[in-house]
Amino acid sequence: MNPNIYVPYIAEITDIKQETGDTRTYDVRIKNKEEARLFRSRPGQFVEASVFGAGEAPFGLTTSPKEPGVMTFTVRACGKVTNALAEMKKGDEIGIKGPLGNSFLDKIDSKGKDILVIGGGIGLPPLRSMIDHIFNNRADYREFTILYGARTPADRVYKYQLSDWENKTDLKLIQTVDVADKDWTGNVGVVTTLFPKLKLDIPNTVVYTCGPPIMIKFVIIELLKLGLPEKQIVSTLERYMKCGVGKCGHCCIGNKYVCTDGPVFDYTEIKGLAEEAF
Amino acid sequence: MPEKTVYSLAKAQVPELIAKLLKSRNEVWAPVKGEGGDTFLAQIDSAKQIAPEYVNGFLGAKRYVFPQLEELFRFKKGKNGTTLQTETDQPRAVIWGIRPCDMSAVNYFDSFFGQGAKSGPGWKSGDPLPDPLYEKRRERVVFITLACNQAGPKCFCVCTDSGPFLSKGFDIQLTDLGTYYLVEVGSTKGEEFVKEFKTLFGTGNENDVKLRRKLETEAEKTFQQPVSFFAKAMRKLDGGKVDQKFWEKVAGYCIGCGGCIYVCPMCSCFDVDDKMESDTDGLRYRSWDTCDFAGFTREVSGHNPRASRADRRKRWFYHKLSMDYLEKNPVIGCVGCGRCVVTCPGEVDMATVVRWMRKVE
Repeated sequence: MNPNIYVPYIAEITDIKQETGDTRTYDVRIKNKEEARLFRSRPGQFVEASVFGAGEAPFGLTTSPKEPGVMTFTVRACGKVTNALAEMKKGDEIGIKGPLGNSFLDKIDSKGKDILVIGGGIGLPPLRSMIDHIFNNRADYREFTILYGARTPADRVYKYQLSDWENKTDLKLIQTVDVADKDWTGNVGVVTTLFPKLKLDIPNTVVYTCGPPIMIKFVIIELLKLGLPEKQIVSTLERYMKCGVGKCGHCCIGNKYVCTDGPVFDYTEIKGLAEEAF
Repeated sequence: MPEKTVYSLAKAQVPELIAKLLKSRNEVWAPVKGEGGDTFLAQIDSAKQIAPEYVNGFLGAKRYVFPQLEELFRFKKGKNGTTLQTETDQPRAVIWGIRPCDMSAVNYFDSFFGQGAKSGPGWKSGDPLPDPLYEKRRERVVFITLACNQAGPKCFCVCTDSGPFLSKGFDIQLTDLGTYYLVEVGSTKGEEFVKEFKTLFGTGNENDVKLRRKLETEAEKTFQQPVSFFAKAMRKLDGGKVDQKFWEKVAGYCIGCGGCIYVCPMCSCFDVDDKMESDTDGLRYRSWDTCDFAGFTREVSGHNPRASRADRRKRWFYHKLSMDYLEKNPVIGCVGCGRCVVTCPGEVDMATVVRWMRKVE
């Protein structure tokens, strides 16, 4: 973090991958070496990315790089800042404020446990930083399952990665879509319809989830029905956010700031909020 | 009131003091009367502009410590990349004659924006971060507050422990004793201020202090708003007694103008945006925002977690009154200045809603 909480670091876009029609993944590097050294993210954290002239917006980091000063995030072009980002090219400069917020690692210690990751649509990118972390420390965890749901097969992000993951022996990936196309041979239906396919060791499973609010809501309802302890349900929360540093007040849910108290919360925290989280 | 050195300041000396301040400080602010008769806290260039009588200004000291529009930084896009410029200098200023409620609101801002907030390697999630703009501005300002001998018609600071007189939290507190002020010093900055202008200050005496105490007791009897017992309302709120129907009733009277938030000396939510001034140069700024507007939480997908006015009203009152928030910052979000009472066209201001809340079964 810059000591002046409103001032970003200058960073360079080093690569752009097209994910879907409106979604791109950006690799970014902080330019100044001294500032880059200070930037070390943990899984679940986010950054505020600036396009100077358009503003700034928060994006969950999607990898857990060992090298400081580099990061990856995935953006769907749908608003002022994200559309401005969509116009940018490799080598262009943006501003980066962060890393901000807490980490999946700040919640229950899931080492030695089964891991179930449940992602919906553009909710997979923030979870990917944790997935990355688990792969980097695979021996620390037991069974590893990822459920990924999207509206259509074309709406899935990281398609190149998903086929890799499907072939892995130490990971079980199950995908589903709401609406199939003619080439789709996988599951059809919302992500909770996959639950009966799982053989869960309930007391020893930790769930990490992120997706549209309505999905998270039903995922949590179903997990609670299965008897999963509340502390073992870990979710990210999202809100319209401006400053990202706990001052502007936009992202508050009850007395929690999504930006500085979150974005990662477990269900014991979520259920106690004075407002509906989803 | 703890025993401390007191001084006196003859009212006849005020013009000279203000003249000296105008020479030695970058800015002097004081309550002035606007054309329509409202009082505003504004920058002055002569003691003549200071309003002779006023309850409290239309806007509190928030207008100074947290301006409605404030530049965060400037950027310049060039051939060799983007450069950022941060303005670190803030004016050396004196704010004259704000009321105890407004001073209390600044103390609240201190705990939210400044003091106690930390960052850097020891920072963990949930810790507050200091706001550099606020801190620098605050460091260089001296507040001279004027205690209230008479409560205003809409005031209820006696219920929020933020007036009509302060016992701490000010640099200098003046009490009007007729032809002169009793001067109490509440901080090192205040002590240095009196030292700097010692030729204009006289010594205070025991009788003045006694008189001040008497005035405080009398002032406490002049409140007209029948509001007290915030504690009871807060217990109802946190005890889950205040249901959604209650907020729908409040929302029924609210026209969603955001006026209460705009005039509230403790409301500090803001928007952040960029502005280009040429093809290459621009700035990022913040501006006051309000949780009363649907756009405050509306996401680009169209999803709005606080889509109804009832939810938004609930949000505002929870933030100010719920013990949940007091855990984070142990000051309730109201100083009883009465501005929302004056402003609200639907008469669902803090005083009214607290009254309703206390009656909830």
